[in-house]
Amino acid sequence: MTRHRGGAPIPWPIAVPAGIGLGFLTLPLAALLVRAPWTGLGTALGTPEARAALRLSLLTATTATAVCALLGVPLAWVLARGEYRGMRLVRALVTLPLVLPPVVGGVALLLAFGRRGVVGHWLDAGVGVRLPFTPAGVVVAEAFVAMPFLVLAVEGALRGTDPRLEEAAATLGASRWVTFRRVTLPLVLPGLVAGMVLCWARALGEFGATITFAGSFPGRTRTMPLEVYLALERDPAAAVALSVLLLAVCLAVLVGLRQRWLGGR
Amino acid sequence: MARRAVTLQAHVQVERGSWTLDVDLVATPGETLGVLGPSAAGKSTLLLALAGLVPLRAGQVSLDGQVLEDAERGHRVAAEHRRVGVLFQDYRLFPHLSALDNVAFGLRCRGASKAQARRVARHWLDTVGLGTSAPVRPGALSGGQAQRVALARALAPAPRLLLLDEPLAALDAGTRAALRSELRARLTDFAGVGLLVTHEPVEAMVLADRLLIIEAGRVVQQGPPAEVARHPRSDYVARLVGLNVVRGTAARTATGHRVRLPDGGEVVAAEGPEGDVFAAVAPAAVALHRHRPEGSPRNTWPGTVTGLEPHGDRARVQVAAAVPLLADVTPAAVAELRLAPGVPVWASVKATEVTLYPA
Amino acid sequence: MALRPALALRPALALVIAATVLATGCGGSARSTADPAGQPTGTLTVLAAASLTESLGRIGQDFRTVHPRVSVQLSFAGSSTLVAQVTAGAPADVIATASSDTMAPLATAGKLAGPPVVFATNVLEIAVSPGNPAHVAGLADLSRPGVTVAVCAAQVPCGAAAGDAFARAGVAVRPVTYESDVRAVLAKVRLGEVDAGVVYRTDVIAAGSAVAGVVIPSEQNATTEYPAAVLRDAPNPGAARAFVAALTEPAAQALLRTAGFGPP
Repeated sequence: MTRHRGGAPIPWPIAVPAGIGLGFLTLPLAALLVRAPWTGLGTALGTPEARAALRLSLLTATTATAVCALLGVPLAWVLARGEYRGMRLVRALVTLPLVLPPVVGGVALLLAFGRRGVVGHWLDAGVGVRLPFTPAGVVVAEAFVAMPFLVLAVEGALRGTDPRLEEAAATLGASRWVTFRRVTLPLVLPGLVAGMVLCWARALGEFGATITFAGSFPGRTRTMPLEVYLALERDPAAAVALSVLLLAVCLAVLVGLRQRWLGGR
Repeated sequence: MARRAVTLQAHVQVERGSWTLDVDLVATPGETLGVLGPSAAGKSTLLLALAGLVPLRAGQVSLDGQVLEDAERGHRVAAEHRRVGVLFQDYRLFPHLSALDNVAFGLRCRGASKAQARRVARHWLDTVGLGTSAPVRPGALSGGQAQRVALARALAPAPRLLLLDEPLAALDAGTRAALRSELRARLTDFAGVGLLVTHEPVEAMVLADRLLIIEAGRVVQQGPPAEVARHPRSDYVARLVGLNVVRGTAARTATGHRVRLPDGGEVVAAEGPEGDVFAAVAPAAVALHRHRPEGSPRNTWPGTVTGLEPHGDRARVQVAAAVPLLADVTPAAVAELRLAPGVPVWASVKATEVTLYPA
Repeated sequence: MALRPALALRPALALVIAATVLATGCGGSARSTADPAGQPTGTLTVLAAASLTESLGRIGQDFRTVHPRVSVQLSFAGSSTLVAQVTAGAPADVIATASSDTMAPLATAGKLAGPPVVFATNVLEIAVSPGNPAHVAGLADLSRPGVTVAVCAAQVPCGAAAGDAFARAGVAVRPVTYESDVRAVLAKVRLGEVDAGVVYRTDVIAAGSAVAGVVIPSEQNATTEYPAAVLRDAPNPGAARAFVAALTEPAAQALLRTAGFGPP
């Protein structure tokens, strides 16, 4: 019988479904590790395609997260503190990419930023900037699907801050910007970091929007998930090896950050 | 360090839902003004308005010659530029900073370097006796320690006006007494104007140089604590200082100085001004009897005991008579008279014990 | 049993559809392969290359007319994707790919019930936006700087064929994207995201006025043949055999010809 902290056993109507749920989530990952071609792992991962895909994925996911933080924190601030009419509509719009099928997101991005897109066509004609088929396009696709994670996490953290502390800071001579930087931001930092980690992980794993908007070109727009998908047809063992690598990277980030910032047990 | 003299002049009008706060006040350098009043009288609102955290509906605030706010002209200096220090009732220490960095915060905002700010902060922490607690986070401080850190934090940037909102309210009785004298010392040293909001009369008496009594958003009395305590001008203050006070019209008659009360009753005093007056009687001067007393007391009223509680080495008896009365009697008298709520008694006061002062 | 219309699918969803097919296909008694009169019945699952989308849809409808008791379910994706699905055990009756090379691994692995039957051929064509704004006249123009080109990934038959064609024409083309199936390439052209895409002639015809076609001369062009085969583990082998046979019959061949496919 499992016991939790209080010492009392967990009742079985809770323990059984919880156990099944946990198994459901961990079994595929365990299967991945069990069936991984451990002997050929080095060669499979050492191919130039695999290396290029990994480098591209890490670069674009990190850039996308930075973009999301830069734009998402102010957006979260407006959602948390703004008392304007229509906040509910704004929040619904912000949450939309979360529930939108990623491929649909990709199509929408094409229609907005593609060569004939609403904004894209003058980006191309006027400034000569083309987003599809470039790593920048990958960043755009990843940022689009991942931003809601960050905005909602930071909004939640901001709602938890105490405006009375900000009043106290004002009486001590802190301008609004200084108050935000030295009082509000440090207090929402754990929430911000959690949001950024989620954002990064979502960006890293994005497939549908990336392949639809940015295309698939080795080293330029073929991120790890796209590489895995292609490898599945070409060389399933390589696909498994790449999957294990992705899993390892994600686990490393989660474990490393959890200890320092998220204060997990 | 040169002591700069500051003057506070404020006419504050703030809309507060169903009522308006309308207060006029002036404070001289080095003075501590005690703002006393029942809860929801507007005391905290006054404090927040002076700090710049609540806008004025009308009126103006000027500190040291600088106009901080003028509602008619639409001029308003933001809170962060007012050089006003605030000690909040809930302290509001920054949980993510050590005590030292909390105290240094205001100095850093004014442009001091980290090292310089910390040096001054350490001096202030030593002053309040918390030098060893410098690296401690607010979460690990006791109530009394947190209060002192908050005080140091408010004083460190050398504000021109120090506002204290019920500074001792969150503390237990023992700590409160100790910190009261600590606070007294800091306020004496403080060169600027201090304004202390409290509902505790003893606190006000000890810490303030001058009292401002606010009821329902209006000033009902102001003056030195001793004066206010001797001559309360409202029921609230009277109850606060524990005096029996009624208002009436005094006239010198052949039979003595009579004060006619609005409901028709009468109080006889030995001497005093004529006209619209307050009549005050100390509870100790009220004698209680089972039956109507004969003899000298010129003031006798029948009544019923409505309350009985210990008061130092005496018993304070509440009597409902023509006017509600407080009487201090010895425990022996309580037993002798068999005093208990509901018991009918006669209260008497000598004319010489009645103090009259103009209303 | 209602005839389900042909479904055109994105490769990303193909695997999901395979699972759904598994769920709906296992309807218990619906899997009988022939009624007492010897006519095929039940559900027939066909995995077909993306370029066969419209043609096989129509052929499937005709098959239904002839065999009213059969419900034909079509699933389209890149040929290499389909092969990977069958290798992974996706339940299906018939597979039709866009090249024999792509089907070869299935034969080697013994997944086929019999030798594949080639039922059509196809040639490549360059698809451009209507009006040919980038003025692409042939394969040589695809290597011109500033011209954006989309092709299929090398493991997809269309992509392999494109590679052959480029080699024959002696041009070094740098595509901006390698898509997972030919319809994705076509989509990029239709959306105007690329100046040109290397697709099959049949795709250009199927897209109608949405794209214009630039013919590739036969000396440079690559031909690909379309084999169809019954799978060894087909749940409905009777209907499967009938379907594969129908592909080479005049009615189906006429449809394929109209769509632009060449003879087998």
